[in-house]
Amino acid sequence: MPSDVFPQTLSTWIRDRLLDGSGGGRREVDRHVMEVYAFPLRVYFLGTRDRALGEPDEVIQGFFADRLARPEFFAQWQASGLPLRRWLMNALNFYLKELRRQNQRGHPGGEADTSEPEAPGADPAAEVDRAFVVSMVRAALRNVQRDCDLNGLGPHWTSFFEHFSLDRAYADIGKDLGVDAARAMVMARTVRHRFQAELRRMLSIDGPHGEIDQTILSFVEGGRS
Amino acid sequence: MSEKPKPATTNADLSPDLATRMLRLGMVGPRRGVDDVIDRLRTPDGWQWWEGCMSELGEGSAADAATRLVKGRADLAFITSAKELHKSRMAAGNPVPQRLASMAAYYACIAAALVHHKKAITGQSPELLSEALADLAASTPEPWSDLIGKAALTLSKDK
Repeated sequence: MPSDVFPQTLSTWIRDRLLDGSGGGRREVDRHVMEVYAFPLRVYFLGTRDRALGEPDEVIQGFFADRLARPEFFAQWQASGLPLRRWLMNALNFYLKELRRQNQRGHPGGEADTSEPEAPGADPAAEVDRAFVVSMVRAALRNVQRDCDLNGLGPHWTSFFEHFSLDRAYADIGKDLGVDAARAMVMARTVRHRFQAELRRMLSIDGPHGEIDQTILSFVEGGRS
Repeated sequence: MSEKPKPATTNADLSPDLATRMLRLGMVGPRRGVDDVIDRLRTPDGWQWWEGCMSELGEGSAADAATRLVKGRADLAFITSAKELHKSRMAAGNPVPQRLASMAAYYACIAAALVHHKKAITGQSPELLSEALADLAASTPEPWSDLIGKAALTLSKDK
């Protein structure tokens, strides 16, 4: 594969893997896309008038199987200039249209579309963004927890998760772990750095974005609506 | 084994509100001076470098400095004058390695004053200083991490 197929501006993480000729890199990209984007796409699908087309998980898996098999899929995304989640949302729309046509061909005479119209006032992009945040944070937590387990940082993970996610005081966490509150805080902070880096990596993959802090703020503001 | 039930440490049920709160942890904010020290600490010889910086805290080795500052055997006047010396060496005109080493010593002095003398010897905002110390503590070797972590917690509202 020629190296100029994927421009330098494409997410570095994705680009590096797509240029790996073994196929392992492409599989890694596909895994990431399925892990992080299946949930927001499912939410999007359920908000469309096409939701009667099939069981949501099956439709989304069918979409991935069809689109991720296309060699130029990510190069086309890059050319679009859209965040990956928006590109996937648009691509899913086209896929749903294809499914609809297939269904109509399978039922000559064509049954009328009896599904309910999209809810008035719904903002599909905002719904996808909210679901994307949940999915990305969940994946980042999972990856960091796995990394901690592999590196003997299980107690550090516990301190991080229980403090930042469950609001437990460091003193209480420390008692469980057999350390003082300051040590529990430092342990949590160690994992917080890893979690921060993982979130920022995932956001950079979804790019093109502006400055990542600004992107996070826009998601936080969107989450309040 | 404790009978007390422990909270779940999985993220299977992540609500949108919690996800948004966790997402905020991804923000890094404007770059601080202490970030340069932390970056240096994360290089392969970072901890060795830190020990070298600590040995500049008065006469003797890093171990001597640790004894004085970590174990609370330095009086406040010594700590304050050491902090002022290193603050002056952090001035922009000095070479970067000198400024970085002095910044490391500067934060160690501030931490020792907070922990052993309950005294803030800097005008930095407690909240920002606590954050800086907490991040620094997560990168420094022991026994410094313990000292700096305790200082961070002293100032922190997030306990």
